[in-house]
Amino acid sequence: MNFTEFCKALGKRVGKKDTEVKKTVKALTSLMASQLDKDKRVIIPDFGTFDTEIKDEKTTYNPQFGAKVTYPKRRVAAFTPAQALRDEYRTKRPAS
Amino acid sequence: MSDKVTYSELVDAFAEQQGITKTEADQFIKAFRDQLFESLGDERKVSISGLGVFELKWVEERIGRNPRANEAITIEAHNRISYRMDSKMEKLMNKPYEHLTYTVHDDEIESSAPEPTPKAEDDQVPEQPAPPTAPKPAPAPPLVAKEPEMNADFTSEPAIKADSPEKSSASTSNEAAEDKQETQEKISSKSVDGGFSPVWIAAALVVIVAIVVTVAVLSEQKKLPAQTETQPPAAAAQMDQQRSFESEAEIIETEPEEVVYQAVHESKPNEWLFAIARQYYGSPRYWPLIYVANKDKFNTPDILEPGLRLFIPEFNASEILTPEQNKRLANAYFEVYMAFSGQDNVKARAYLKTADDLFPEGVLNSDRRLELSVADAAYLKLYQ
Repeated sequence: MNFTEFCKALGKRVGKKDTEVKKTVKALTSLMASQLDKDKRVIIPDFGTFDTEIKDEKTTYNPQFGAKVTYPKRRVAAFTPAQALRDEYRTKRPAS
Repeated sequence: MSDKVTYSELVDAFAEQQGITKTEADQFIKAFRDQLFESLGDERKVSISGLGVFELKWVEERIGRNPRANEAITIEAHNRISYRMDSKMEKLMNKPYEHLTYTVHDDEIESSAPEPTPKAEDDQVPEQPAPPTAPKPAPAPPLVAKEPEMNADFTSEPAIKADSPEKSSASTSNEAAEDKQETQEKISSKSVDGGFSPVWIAAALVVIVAIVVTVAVLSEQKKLPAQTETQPPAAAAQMDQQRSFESEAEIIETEPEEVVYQAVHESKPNEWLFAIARQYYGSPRYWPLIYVANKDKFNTPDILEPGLRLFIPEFNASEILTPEQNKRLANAYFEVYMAFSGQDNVKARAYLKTADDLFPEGVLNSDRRLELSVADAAYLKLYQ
């Protein structure tokens, strides 16, 4: 599901236009991102926690290059799903 | 480590930013959350601009290890909820590290990829029988265009070796191998310089070299019977003795494969080797033994058709396995690796790792190393 489809579904839920919802969601995510950037954890109850992690520099084998490659230190956003989310879909098999 | 933003703080900030009441902000965030929750279940994958991609990833049942008790446990199939930040978020997060970039260790391009096979030859293994199946060509990386040719080359070589008597090929093939390596080095330097056409020239050269080597080895083979005849009887006797030792050694090595079957099992619908192994051996982790005993009945080890008559080999598993049992199990896992190799490399590598863990000095350091594909050998090296 891409972002447009998601916004359409959310628009239906709150009874607003897609375009309006899109703007609001973008504002919300940028607010969350700015909090994460300040090294703060963002908690959304019954969904999960967003956090940042510093990944150290690492050297691994890259099969595409056929050589070892050293990747620099970087910061990533991480998400830990809440127990409710995890339990809900624990045993739901893919359709295929 | 980091302070947190509680939900109410998020609502306050959002209400202020949007110029709406806190109730409205709360309702919107809750709706956003519920929609994301539901869509994730329905679609299994949801992208949110500015945040990232959420995805349900199905993980099959597997054997894990309880690190505290150090015992194997079965982890049931489940969904993993994966999250990956999108490019917008990544840019923001990595602002402090923007100036950093990755570095490729160029010097290892030449050595690391083709290394495993020549290295094995240095360890005096030319006397070994040809591997039953040719090493599978690694997923060809664009930079190392010469690799598939090298693979093809090496597959033809062991076949020649197997034909020739052991004694003669020991010296000649070593020389031949050295020659080859030299020419290949030349070839590779050429092919790195130029564009596409030098690759074809390199291929032609490799073929020519292969033909020359074949002729050389064959002629050597013709010479050999004459040599043995002229040798003094004592030496001949010694050689005979050596041969008999070797054949004994072969028998000892093949002995574990002559297994006694304890039962015949008829497979039912929706049954898997895991379950059968648990039924007969008390633990699902010995399933590769059953697979190996009935290899010809499978296309891939994890698909078991109902109505098959499976031989269940005898295997008296106790808490701690004897070295022989470990070796047998490791060999079985290696067979599973061979079956998956080229089809599902992720699975194949997992089984390869298991085999290596079970019996590190046995299975993989001997002739079976030759059967590893180049990429997998490199992968295994990372863990040593």
